[in-house]
Amino acid sequence: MLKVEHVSKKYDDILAVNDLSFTVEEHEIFGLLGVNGAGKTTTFRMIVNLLEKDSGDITLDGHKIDYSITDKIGFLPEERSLLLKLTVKEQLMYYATLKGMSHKDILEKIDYWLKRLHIWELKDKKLKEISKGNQQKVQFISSIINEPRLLILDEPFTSLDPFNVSLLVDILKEFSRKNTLVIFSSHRMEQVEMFCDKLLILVEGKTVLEGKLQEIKNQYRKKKIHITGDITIEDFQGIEGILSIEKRPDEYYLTIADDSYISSVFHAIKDKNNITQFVVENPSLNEIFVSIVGDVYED
Amino acid sequence: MKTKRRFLIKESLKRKLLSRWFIGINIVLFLLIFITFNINTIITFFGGDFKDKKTILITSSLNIYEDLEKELEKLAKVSVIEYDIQEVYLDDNQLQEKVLNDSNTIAIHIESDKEEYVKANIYTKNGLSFLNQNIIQTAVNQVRKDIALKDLGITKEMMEKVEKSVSLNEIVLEKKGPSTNKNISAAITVMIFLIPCFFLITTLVQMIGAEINEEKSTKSMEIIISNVDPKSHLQAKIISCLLFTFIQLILILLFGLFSSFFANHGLGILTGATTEGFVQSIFHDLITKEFLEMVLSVLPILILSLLFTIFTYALLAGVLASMTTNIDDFQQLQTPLMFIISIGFYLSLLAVFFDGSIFIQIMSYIPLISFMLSPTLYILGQISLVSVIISVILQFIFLLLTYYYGIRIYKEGLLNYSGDKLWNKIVKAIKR
Repeated sequence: MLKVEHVSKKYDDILAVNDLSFTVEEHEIFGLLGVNGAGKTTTFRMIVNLLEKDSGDITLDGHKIDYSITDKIGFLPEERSLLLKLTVKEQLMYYATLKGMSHKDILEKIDYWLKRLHIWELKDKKLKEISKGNQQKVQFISSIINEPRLLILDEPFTSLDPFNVSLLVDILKEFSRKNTLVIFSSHRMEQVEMFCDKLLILVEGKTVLEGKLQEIKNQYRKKKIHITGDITIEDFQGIEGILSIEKRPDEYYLTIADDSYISSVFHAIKDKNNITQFVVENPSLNEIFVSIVGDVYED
Repeated sequence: MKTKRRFLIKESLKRKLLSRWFIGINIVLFLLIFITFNINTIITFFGGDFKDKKTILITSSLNIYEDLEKELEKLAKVSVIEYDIQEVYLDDNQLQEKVLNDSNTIAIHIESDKEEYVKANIYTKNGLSFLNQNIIQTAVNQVRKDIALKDLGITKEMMEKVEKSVSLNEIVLEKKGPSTNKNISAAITVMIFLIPCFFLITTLVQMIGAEINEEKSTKSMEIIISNVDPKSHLQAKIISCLLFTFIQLILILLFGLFSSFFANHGLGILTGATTEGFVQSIFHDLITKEFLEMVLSVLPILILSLLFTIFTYALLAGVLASMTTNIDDFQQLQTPLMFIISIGFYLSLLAVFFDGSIFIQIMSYIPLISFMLSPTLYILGQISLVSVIISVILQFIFLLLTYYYGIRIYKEGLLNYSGDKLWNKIVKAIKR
């Protein structure tokens, strides 16, 4: 288990991380979300011991994280961190050796992962000669090649197309099943929704929301109602609890303040002509994120 | 961690030594060194006008032929020119005819002169080369001098005695050091031998800076430092760059030895060139028995001093590189380091002229420059062996302090991607 307890970090007068606490447990994929400058990268750097925290504790399976256990950690930084003069194989050999892996083991793993991510033919190509998406895949391999106990991914899907994103997501799920604690950050909420079990939203270094994804969605009071039928916008006038109406051809998306207003909306339009769809949906993670972050900034 | 440090050293060395640049540059270096050592032989091998044997015809009624022939042969021997000297009894028209028929013939007609003792007409078909003109001028001057001395009743032996330097018998009543005039040339020689160290340090500083900056600018530093602690990383950088620089120096030395050997036993014999090369003549002049004895007496201290200084410069280069975000910033930041080392070099030169300068003596205790200044002053007899040992101890203390505080700055600097408030960050890291 990864345990982050009351961790804070200050850069001069700026409090980058403010009393942050969370845990990542077995078979959990944990998402650390937030706008740019929220403190995600600082948190990751503190976890991998790149930065010294001002206060608090970070432990992995009960051990303080230091250089004696960094071989058990896989880390993919936000920005590309590759020595572009090296070939794909040389780069992977280099990083894997720093993880304390044996030469034989590294060679086997390189072949396996390059094949699995469909870049085996690039093995002897210089990194500067391959596309950014493929460079990202090489970097991803370098973070998982040692089959880490803790895998930290800062924006892992940068430059990747949907096919490759789904390829990586499958691998992450596989690792999570095999006992790897996965913690990651991403700006792409639809990607986070694909595989995240638990998440935490940081705003200006402070936790504003934390919990299991499904519970957060369920508990989030604002709901969406998707209605298809011969109705006009005037039909919704006078109904309480409607926060916004989004009109699309033949269909409407209503945002309501909470689920107690569902029945009043239903009763108001049920007798209208040709109603073919009335679906109550949980809001998307993106909507929750924008709403929460927006609320914090407005406050 | 030791295994990882060893791996980083091995990997860094491998990348440098197996690069095409390293191989290419060493081929160029070898060729340049080979050419420098064999320059006389190469010039002789390719030939030119200087290789044509000149015939010198001398006509004179003054009975000076033998003296002039001797002088000309003496001067030709130390140059690359060959003369066939003949005495002839011809008038000017006949001499001109001979010269017109052969462009390699030089005719000299010497007669007496009331004012200048002798005057000479020289006939050539296309003019005299600079070297030939100088040789003939010197030889004729010498002959004129002999005639003049004879005229005045002064013998050669008498003249030699007059021209010889007066013996100054120096009697030192309270000897404070091994200072003699000979030590000045020895001190200069020490400095000349310290020049490679100057280049070694410059190369080392550049190399460490470039490597760290490359890892920082590609952000691969984040991955490396998340696996290897900054101390081991810096140690690996310094050791690998030092090893590389030593390998490069040894290679240059081997190129020099091979080229020198080849100059004496290979090309020299093949081409028949017997003159000593320019570089070899410098070494023969510099390395005397006295010089070697003097250097050997301070060699252990000199080596310690050098090692401490090299490590200090390497550490400073690493620390400065860690605080910068790109190689351009590093170049600016390391400029003062290069100036400091230059100051040491110039003060060593000036010490020869400013005997006993208190300022220079104080500076000889300053780490970073004392490795040049201290041994030079010692050989000049301006400071004692105890002073040299104190300066080495100070270097060691400075090295320890640089290491102790440098590691703190290095750790802080590796993830610093901004040039703002650089000095504040350095001070803050030291205070941590």
